[in-house]
This record gives sequence, C-alpha cells and structure tokens, in this order.
Amino acid sequence: MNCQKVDNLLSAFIDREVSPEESREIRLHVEECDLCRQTYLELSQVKDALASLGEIELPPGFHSHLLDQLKQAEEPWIMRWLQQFKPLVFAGALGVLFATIGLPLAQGAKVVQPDPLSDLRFLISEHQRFQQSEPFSNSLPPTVTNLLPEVRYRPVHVDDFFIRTVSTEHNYAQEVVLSHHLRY
Amino acid sequence: MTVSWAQAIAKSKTTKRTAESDRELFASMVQEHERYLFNIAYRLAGNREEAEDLVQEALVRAFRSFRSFEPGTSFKSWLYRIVSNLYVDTLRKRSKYREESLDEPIIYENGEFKKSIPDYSADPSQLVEETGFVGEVQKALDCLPAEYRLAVILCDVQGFSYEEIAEIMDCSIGTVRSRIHRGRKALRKYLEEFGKERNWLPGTVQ
Ligand SMILES: [Zn+2]
Repeated sequence: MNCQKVDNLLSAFIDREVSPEESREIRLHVEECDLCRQTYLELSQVKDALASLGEIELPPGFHSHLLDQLKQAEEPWIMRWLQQFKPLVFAGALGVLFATIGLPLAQGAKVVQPDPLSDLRFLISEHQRFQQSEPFSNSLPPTVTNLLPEVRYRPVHVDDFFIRTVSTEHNYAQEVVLSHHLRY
Repeated sequence: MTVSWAQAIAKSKTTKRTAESDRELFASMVQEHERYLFNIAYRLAGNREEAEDLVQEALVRAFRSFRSFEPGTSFKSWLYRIVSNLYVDTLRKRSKYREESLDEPIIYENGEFKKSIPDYSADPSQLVEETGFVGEVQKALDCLPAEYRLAVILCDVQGFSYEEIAEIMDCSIGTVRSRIHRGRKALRKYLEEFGKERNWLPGTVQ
C-alpha cells in the first residue's frame, strides 16, 4: 500500500473497521513510514481526546418533562374519537361511495357536480406526498388545510345508513372519510 | 422497566391501545436511551439547554411516528436517527450554517474545512459551557460541519460501529469512514490552533 491509500484508511484502522489483511498491511507501512506514523499518532490522540469527554448527567426532571410534552403532543380529539369507530368509519366510506356513485346511477341521474370523491383523492394524494417529504410531521399539508373548510361545509349526499351510524356530529361524510384516510 | 420492541409489538396487538397506554409504552421504551441521547445532543450542541430542547423535541417527533415505526429495524438506531436528523435540520435552518452542504465541496486539498472558526461572541447560545481541555475539544467539535461532527461523536464519544452509524445517518459505510477521517483531521487542526499557547498536545511535532 502507498501512503495515500494508507492515509485514507488510518481512521478506520484505528477503529478496527478494516479487514485483517488491510490491517496487516497498514501496520507494516506505519512501522516503516515516518509520515504515516505521525498521522496515525495524531488521529489516535484526537480519538482519545474525544473518548475522554466526560458523561453529562440528565437535567433534573427530564423524564417528567418528556411525559408532559408527550401528553401535549397527543392527537386531536377527532382522531381519537374516530379510532373507536373504525368499522363505522369504513361503513361510512362505503356509504359515501354508494351515495355519490351508486345512488345517482341507480336513479339514472347524472353524478352530482362537483365530485366529492375527486376532492378526496386529491387530498389523500397530497397527504401521502407530504408524508413522504416530511415523515415526522404530524400536521396536515398546507394544500389540505386550505381545502378543508370548503370540504367540511359542503354537504354531500349520504344515505340513511350512513347518517344513522356516523351520528349527527359527523354528518359530513367527506370529513369522516378524509380523517379516516389521513389517520390510517 | 425496559420493554423491547418485540414485546411492545406483542403487547400492542393483545391489549386495547389507548392514548394513555401508548404514551406509557413509549415513555418506558425510551427511558433507558434518554441519557445517551442527551449526551450526544450535548456534544452536538455544546450546551445543556439546547441539548435538552433537541432531545425533547426529537422524542416528541418519535412518539408521533411511533405507530409507523417498522418492526425489524433497531429501535435504538431509529431514535438516534430522529435526533440526528432534527439536529442537522436545525443547523441547516440557521443561516450561518447554510453553506454547510455535503453536496458542495467543503474541504480544501490540504484537508482544512472552508468554514472558519465560529465567533462565539456573536451568539450567546453557542457558548461552550465547559472549560479547559474539555472545553477546547467541544469548541473544536463545534467548528465541524454537522455531518462530520455527528459521525465523529457517534464513533468516538458513543462508541458506535461504522455499520450502526451508517444506519443512523442513512448513508454508506464508505461515507461514514470518510466523514470520521476528515472530521478527525480537521479536529486535529483546530485543537492545534487552540492549544498553541497552552501546548496541551504532547505528541505534536513542530
Ligand atoms: Zn506512508
């Protein structure tokens, strides 16, 4: 091995992160070559200096502070509320599908404009895109929050079954379906 | 109480999960890591206050994506990765570190970083708390670009293997090797500068 190659591997050599063969070659070279031996010694000193840094104690109350923070970070009530109704929400989603596509078709009517499902598809795809770019964010993408009020206050056609099961509190099917998709 | 990830998964499948039980489970799983995370953060940030904020925020983020955590990956590496990412992001957001990008060449041919030694008088939060030799080492660490600082701290302060560091930093082992090597070389230069009057490096050949 030449100096250049040895130099590149010196830190890994110190950390025992080279193969046994490389290790042997480097050791031989360092014994012979003053320059590489000097670098080896200097890098070892830096490692020792870092390893000699003392351990710092956790600040007092760290864990209880964390518990408080976690409590605050909990999901909004609507998400928790929806969690209890997973099967119902699914039924609700089916209801929306039926109401927006099934019913008008069955009655021979035109599909209502604007199509709420296309809004949903857009919101869901936006949300997925946002999740990929910011995997640790708990907030909704701006494109979704901008649209939400409009979605929430635009009534949609829902069937009786849906109204019965999902309660008056959530009689806007899109919001429920949207929440469902956002959460799961 | 320490709970392994496998146990946690098993538990979450058999018991009814509530917001409270999730929180307790998460808190019990991270408790044993808190001190190590705080120590890494302390060496990254250089002071207690920033270090505590960093770890607390990172753990809240981790908690939020707790349910989407993939079983099979190491819980420990996952936690360290969140702290590391948050740290690198925070630094990038500060304008004075904006030039620190791995996409740009940041090292001169002689191995010296382009970045000059930070002016601590400009930002009181950057003040290094420790004094003496330890303080000098911390100050030298603060001069390194984020990714190099992180790699060196994970290796030399926390004793992680290159493979573990690659997992935490989401890069190849080759990248880890070069970050540690260049990081140490730069540290050596800074320490030599700081210690010129004090002459603390016994092995220095003038
Ligand atoms: Zn040589």
